[in-house]
Amino acid sequence: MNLPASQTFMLSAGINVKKINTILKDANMTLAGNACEPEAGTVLDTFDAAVHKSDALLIQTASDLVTICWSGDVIAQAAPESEWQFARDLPQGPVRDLLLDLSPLRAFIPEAQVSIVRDIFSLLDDEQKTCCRVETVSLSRGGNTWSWLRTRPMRGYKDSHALICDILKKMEKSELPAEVLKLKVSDYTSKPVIRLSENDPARKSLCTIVQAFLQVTRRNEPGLINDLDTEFLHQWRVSLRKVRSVLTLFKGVVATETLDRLKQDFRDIMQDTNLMRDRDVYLLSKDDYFALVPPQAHPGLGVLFELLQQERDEAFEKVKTMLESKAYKKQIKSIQKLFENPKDLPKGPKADAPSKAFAADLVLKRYKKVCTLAGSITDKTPDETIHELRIQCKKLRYLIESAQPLFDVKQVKSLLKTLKGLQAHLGSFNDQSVQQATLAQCLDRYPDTAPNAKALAESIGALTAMLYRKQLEERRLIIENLSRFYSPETQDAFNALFDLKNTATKQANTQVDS
Amino acid sequence: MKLIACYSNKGGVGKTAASVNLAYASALSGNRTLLCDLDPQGASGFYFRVKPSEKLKSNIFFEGTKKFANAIRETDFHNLDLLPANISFRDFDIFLSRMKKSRSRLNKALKPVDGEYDMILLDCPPNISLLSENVFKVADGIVVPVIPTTLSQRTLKQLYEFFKEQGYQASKIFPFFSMVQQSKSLHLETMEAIRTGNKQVLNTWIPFSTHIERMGIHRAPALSYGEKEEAVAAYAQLWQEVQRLFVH
Repeated sequence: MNLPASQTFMLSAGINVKKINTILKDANMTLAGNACEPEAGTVLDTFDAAVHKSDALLIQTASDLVTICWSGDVIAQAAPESEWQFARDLPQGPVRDLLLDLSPLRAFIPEAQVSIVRDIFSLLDDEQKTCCRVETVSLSRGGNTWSWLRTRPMRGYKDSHALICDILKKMEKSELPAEVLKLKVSDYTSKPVIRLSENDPARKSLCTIVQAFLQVTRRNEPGLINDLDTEFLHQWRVSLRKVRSVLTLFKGVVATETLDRLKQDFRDIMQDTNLMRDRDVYLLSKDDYFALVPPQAHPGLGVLFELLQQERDEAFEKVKTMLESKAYKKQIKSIQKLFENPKDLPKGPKADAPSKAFAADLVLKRYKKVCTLAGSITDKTPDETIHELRIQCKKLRYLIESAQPLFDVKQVKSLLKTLKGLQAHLGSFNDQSVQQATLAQCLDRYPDTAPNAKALAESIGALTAMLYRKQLEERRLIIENLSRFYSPETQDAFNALFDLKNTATKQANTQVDS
Repeated sequence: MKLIACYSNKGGVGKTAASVNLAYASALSGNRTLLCDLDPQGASGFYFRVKPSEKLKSNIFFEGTKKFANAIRETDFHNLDLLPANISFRDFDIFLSRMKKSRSRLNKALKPVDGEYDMILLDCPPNISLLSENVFKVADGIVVPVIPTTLSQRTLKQLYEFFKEQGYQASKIFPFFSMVQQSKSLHLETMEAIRTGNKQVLNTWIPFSTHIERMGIHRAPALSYGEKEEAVAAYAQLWQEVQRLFVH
């Protein structure tokens, strides 16, 4: 069909229809709206600004839930009748689909109040025939207005579309709504940009990395205490684990006693959170579990999930108390302080090694270790070895990610992709083991005489069988992915990136040759 | 894609009003619909406020089938497009006769829009010409508005005779009563008489109504502003009947 493409315009003001109509007079045309009334709206986003980062705004009014993607479309669905926090809580609709895709696990939190006017303008000719439509949204906050206009061309009216686009283009001032409306956008990221210099001493680089991760830990505390969503705990734990890993993996950089003390500190801090995270993971996949077992096992599964929820709530109270305690605050602050100044960090024998060479050597050794282990895995390998492989892969991943700023981003990313593919299966394999163990524990803890004991036991039996089946399937997939991981191509890529000595020699040889 | 023609070999029988409202009802029930205004005296375009553009008036308009597609205009109503009438439509017959080879030239002309529409409605000129004959051949159905008078009864008879002479399928013809005045006993008697001899006559009939006549003032399909009026609602019912016959 011969239809021009829709165009989008942004204005740092309201839509001046009078002005547009003055210009349209020459063409014997008018732009007419429906005089829609402004509505009160709330801007929502996640803690990590997922909506903003996707170049969109999410606004809830009394009647609608609207996403405005400034280079794309306005998507709306009826506002839910009850309070909601998560995309999954929303009734079926296009906005739900979009948000589920954007951030399936995070809570959407109110950020600002705005006034919103939505309208569809018609560009009319002198016969009052519509020749083009313009969908508009105007948002106002504290005396500032930002408008978004998107043309909807009509078949057979190319010229009219061109005309209105021309006018709007001249009026356009494409500033983003956050700037115009002075919306505060969260700068939180779980993956902070870390800047390292290749010749800095390893101790300095280590401090930079640890500081960045500890900041992530600290930023997650308020949301975790308020229990806004499960990601706060998850990212709090991941950041601490990364710190712990990098300290251990950067072998010889920190003095042994300091390292041992720190490791103990981390164990203390994280101990109380293990149970809560484990139950969170369970509860997040509640629907999947119900889908796994036949309907007759559902009542029993209901009992199980009540039990898990109860345990989770108790675990949360413990974590909350811990995080709010003076002891924790003192401990975490003292850890942060330790890494503030590299010179104050008690050093080990490798503290002054140049960062890049040091890191490259570590990665290469670790990769070779993983390859040796991977090469030994067959259909008959015991589960323990697969768990060991998972841990080694995790270490390798943390190591590469920590040292990433010292190497070529693109090359590192492509290697990480292969690693992540393998890790996904190793992760599921592990989850299924852990979950089978948790189920067994639940059965032990629940009194045999309780009214639902039989139903619970049956549902646990059904679930365990299904998990075991899934685990077998994951094993198969792990072996399938392994060969790719230690293939000659991947090995070459690792060597090219991390075998600095050989690469340097090769380059020198090439120079001699030429 | 279904092709329905609204045709009458007699003028002033409510043919254009029927075309416009059937097309509107078709679009409303979710069919991507194209209404072709083939009647130079008709006013389908007028009812949708669509002007015949300067470009369309040129004689070379129908040289290529692509140009045909370019002439299509989106109406103000969802799912409903219009191919506006223009002066060269008087030459539409000549255009068809110039395309010597194929006898189903209209089919060929409609090819570039095939697939874009579920329903194409033709508002045909009120004469028997090469264009009409092409329509008779390619259309899936021909709905014929008939005012229940003796004169109209005679015209309808002529149409059937013509079909017989030419060997066209008379089973494609679906007459319906238009501009019916229930107060006139002649209307009721004629309806009775025609129905007795013709099983193809549609059940729905359109009453004579000022609400329909006002289309010229509203410049929009009567169904879009007066669907609650009995006479106007009859078009929706007529569409339901047509849909049952042709859209599966």
